[in-house]
Amino acid sequence: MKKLIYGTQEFLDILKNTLNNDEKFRSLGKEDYTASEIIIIKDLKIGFWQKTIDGEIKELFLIPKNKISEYERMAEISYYIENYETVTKLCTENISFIQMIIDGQIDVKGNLKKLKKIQSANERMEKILKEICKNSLVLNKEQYIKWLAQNNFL
Amino acid sequence: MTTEEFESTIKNFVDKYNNNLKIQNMLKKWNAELLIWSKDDNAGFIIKVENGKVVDISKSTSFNEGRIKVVGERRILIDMFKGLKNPSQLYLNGIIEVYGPERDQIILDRIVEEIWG
Repeated sequence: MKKLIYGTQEFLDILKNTLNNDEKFRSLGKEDYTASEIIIIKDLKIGFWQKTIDGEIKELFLIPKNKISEYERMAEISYYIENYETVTKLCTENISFIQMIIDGQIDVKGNLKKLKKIQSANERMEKILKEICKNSLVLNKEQYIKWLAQNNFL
Repeated sequence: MTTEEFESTIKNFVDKYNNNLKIQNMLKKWNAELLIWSKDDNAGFIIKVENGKVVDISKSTSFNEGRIKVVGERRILIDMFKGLKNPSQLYLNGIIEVYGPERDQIILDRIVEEIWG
């Protein structure tokens, strides 16, 4: 059976569907979670875009290099991750997104009031992400760059 | 509620903070100066953190001090540092103001969650 690859659009689609069908995530996000967020992977110059309305994820997709600035301008909250290796830690290591912000591995800019409101739902999202990761393949940087290039993200 | 109560409340909170091993472990790389500013008094306290540990608390009469500023009425700040009022709610409702880099504000949230959560 083909294994799901972390960081691909297929992975994001499964994450989005799982979260939208998760009662706990939906209930934590209801009324509080309406936000446009971007994660930018600085060394690869690509990113992930998430638009959530009233606790339902409407959009979750990979942003190609040539569209990063456009989406960065639209985001209410931006997370900047230094490199791909740090992104893989979210999948492979028992470290939380918040801990990585505290450690300085992730920088965050934007609407902090909104960020506080979505904290609980984000923690639920992280837990589900790590569950999906258990059955996924994490490519090394070279392999992931090759995949991005083949799929026109670079 | 007096300024003495304000000072002793902050000191009690700092004791809890410095004796919390989980926080100390989590914030061992964090260095900061926090200004806790009472609008009633136009004065406050500077809390100096080195490698995650509070090393000094001193009185301040200058709002220009501190990388992070927590501003509010003395009565509210006392209740907040006693754990009687939720800081996130106070902030979201505009009852206190917090200024400073995003990362520091997220750290403050995590501290509060660990101590009062």
